Amino acid sequence: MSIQSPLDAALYTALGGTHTNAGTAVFLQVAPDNYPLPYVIWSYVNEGDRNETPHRLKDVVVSIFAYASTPTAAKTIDAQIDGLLHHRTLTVTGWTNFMTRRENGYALEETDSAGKKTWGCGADYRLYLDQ
Amino acid sequence: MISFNMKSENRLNDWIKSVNNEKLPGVVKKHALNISASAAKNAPVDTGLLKNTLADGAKPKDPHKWTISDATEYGVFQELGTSKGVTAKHFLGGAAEREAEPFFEDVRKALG
Repeated sequence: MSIQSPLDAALYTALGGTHTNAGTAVFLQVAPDNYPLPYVIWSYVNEGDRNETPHRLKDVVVSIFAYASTPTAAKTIDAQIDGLLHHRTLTVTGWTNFMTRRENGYALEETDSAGKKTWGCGADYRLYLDQ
Repeated sequence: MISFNMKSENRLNDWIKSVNNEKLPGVVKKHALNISASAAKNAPVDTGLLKNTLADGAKPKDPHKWTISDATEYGVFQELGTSKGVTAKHFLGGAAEREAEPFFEDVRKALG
């Protein structure tokens, strides 16, 4: 049983709206074509089942990236996401999130064929959830 | 180029080195090669360069530390995705995540 659908909803609720400078521009996997910066994309690195207890326990790693036209803007959104998730509790339908923490951080710079740069800043977040 | 260090957290790594257990280098090597193979298996293929260089990308830095890397400039964008529609594949990070539990189980066995 995958946890991704309820977790998708929880992440969108936690990160969307007015919580970061990206507003509601928060997408799973990929942004719509030509969507204006800034925006946030999340994707799943791994979804593991920890078969150590009678309870169902998920160990999920989600990569969350902020893309913006300047490195400062990308870092600001990344810091806002950190504040919303690191050591915070997400409300996930059908599951209890008992730990969320930031792990590996990344910074990327892309240059398109016209020389326009886009800056990405993000991190992996590990979530433990059980039911 | 992307790379992934097959090592434990620094304090644990220092402790493992101090234990000086002769089985641990073999454990680290085994799981580094497993990650390399799994990453190569799941890497996207166009020319095959990314997949092939990942398959041969596990190299020892010291007996307790291996680095897994590809030899392409675009590997990182395939791994982490881009703003221009390339989705993140997480073939290397996912491989490391899946290998973590078996790795620590073997470390526990090696340390008796």
